[in-house]
Amino acid sequence: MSRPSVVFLIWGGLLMALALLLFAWTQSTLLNGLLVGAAVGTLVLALLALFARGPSRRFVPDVSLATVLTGVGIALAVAGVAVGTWLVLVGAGLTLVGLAAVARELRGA
Amino acid sequence: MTTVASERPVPRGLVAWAAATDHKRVGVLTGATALVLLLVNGSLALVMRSELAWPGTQVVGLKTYNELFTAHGSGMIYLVVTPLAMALGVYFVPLMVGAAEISGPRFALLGYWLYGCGAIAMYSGFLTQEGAARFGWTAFPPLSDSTNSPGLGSDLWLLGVSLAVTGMFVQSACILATIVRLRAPAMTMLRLPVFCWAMVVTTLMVLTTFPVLVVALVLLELDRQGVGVFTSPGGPAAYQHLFWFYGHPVVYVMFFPFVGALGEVIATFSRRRFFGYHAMVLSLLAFAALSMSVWAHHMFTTGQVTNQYFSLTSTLIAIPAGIEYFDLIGTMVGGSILYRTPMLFALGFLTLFLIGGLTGIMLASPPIDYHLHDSFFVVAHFHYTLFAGSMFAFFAAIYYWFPKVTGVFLREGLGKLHFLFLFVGTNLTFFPMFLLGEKGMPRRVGDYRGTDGFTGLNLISTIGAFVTAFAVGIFVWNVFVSLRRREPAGADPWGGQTLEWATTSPPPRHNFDALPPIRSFAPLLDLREGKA
Repeated sequence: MSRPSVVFLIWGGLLMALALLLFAWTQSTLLNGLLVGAAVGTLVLALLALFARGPSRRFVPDVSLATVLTGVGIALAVAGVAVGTWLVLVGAGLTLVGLAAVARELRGA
Repeated sequence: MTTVASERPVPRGLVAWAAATDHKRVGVLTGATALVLLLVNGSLALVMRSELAWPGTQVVGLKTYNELFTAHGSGMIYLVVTPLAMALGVYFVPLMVGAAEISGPRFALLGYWLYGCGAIAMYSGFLTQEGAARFGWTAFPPLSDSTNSPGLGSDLWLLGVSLAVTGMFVQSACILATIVRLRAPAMTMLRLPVFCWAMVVTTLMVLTTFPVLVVALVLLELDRQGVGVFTSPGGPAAYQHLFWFYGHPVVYVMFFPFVGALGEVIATFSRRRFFGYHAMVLSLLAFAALSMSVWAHHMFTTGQVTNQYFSLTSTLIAIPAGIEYFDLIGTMVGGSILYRTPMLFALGFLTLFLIGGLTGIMLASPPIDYHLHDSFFVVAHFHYTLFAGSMFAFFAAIYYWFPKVTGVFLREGLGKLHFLFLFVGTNLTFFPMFLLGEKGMPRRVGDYRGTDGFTGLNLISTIGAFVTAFAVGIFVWNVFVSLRRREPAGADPWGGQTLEWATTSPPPRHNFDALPPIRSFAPLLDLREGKA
């Protein structure tokens, strides 16, 4: 339990055990798929944690308007699904501008 | 990639806050937004309780009532309690693990903006011609399809919830990545504070269940656009499975972080090391795993699920929950307890959550559930867990950590008054609902007949709601007064045990100038006891 990957492994194992128990009652693909999917997802997290890099140094600005622009852009694009294509386009445009600005921030770091 | 926190002077102004990458500012932004929305959604509840005080429609019509309970329920769950939990995590996890920053600070900020924009989208439905969504926080089809719930407001609600939930998913990934990657060198997993362990299991549940809800809502939106996803005979039940696979774990997402905070509060104000740390860690892991396997107990009455399995797992939850209670109470035993406001709220939680928890075990039994399903009993049960439970623990956390975040104390006298009125108001509001449900009053109705025998209990409940609102008003006044006439708190006003108390209040941008030795989950207590 001293490493995060072991913790995730234990938790994924618990989910898998509960999924096996559920399988004894029902063979429903949806029900079993949900629980097995969560267990597999946790095992993938365990792998990611196993190979995760430790802290490295990179400068981050105190204020990132580019991130805000990206967030607002994504939100407008999503809302556009209900409101109209024009809003999807506005949102997508803002997102692209925001992402480009984030990339610029990262290059300057 | 970890980032290096700037040591330049901290920027000031609205933009500096709204676009801040400092995890502490993102945490405060998220928490403050959620608190404002708590007031908004609480006000909606007052309107609903006013309507239900007497038979007949006096305050709002039935259509508006449906819009109100949808906005109240979905607002509290998607926009208030879950974000409050994440706000605590974003602010305190990096401090408690001895990190200079959160992992992925831009992502944490992005998460906030997705959440904020999602909230705007959800409420903007009230401005549309057909009105806001009115199918409840669950949005079950066919009630939520475009035939039964036409209009832009419903679409905006679905997309808004998707955005808000995605925002919380992103923040939660940042919190977990911080624990995985940025712990101080000596901070092993078994030296993590109880609150951080609570956040580990919370974020695991978020990462594995929140995407399922987003998928369900996107499919529902496609359904509303005419694609025909849930229109087959098994479609509505399939949606319910997808929804509750998120919908039950989220109850614990709104619970574990506050229990973790409570662990810190109780240990600090009992002047004792947390009792049964390892048992608590294991029970949190088991509790979280079990809570992933109980979702279909919400569907007992559909006849579409295997009741035995879901009843078994739901009842088994009582075991890890009992261990956690035992640990919290065990920490107090033999301690020299200080009855300050955070501790009063902690004791309030222990008392009231027990009612919510025990009635949950009752509802885990299919025969009882058949009788009480969709009645006010269920409303009482989940308000005892979410309001009397999580919100009491949240207030304990607020009174405990407010000095760390702001550098000043909240007023103790006003805090005790807040606790007293909230305790009375909560019980007056929600206990009568158990009796109403038992008598057969269905939930999600805006009216009832005078001859039903529900009037007296409803009136008491409404009075209780206004007492609760008064209590929240005292809290708001307390925050205002405490920030205006500041009573400096110092770095460690309570004699805390975890690393956040080893830095200034509020902490600097880079969090720590130096860390004390870390030999256990309570490094500052070790230092005081000469064990470091």
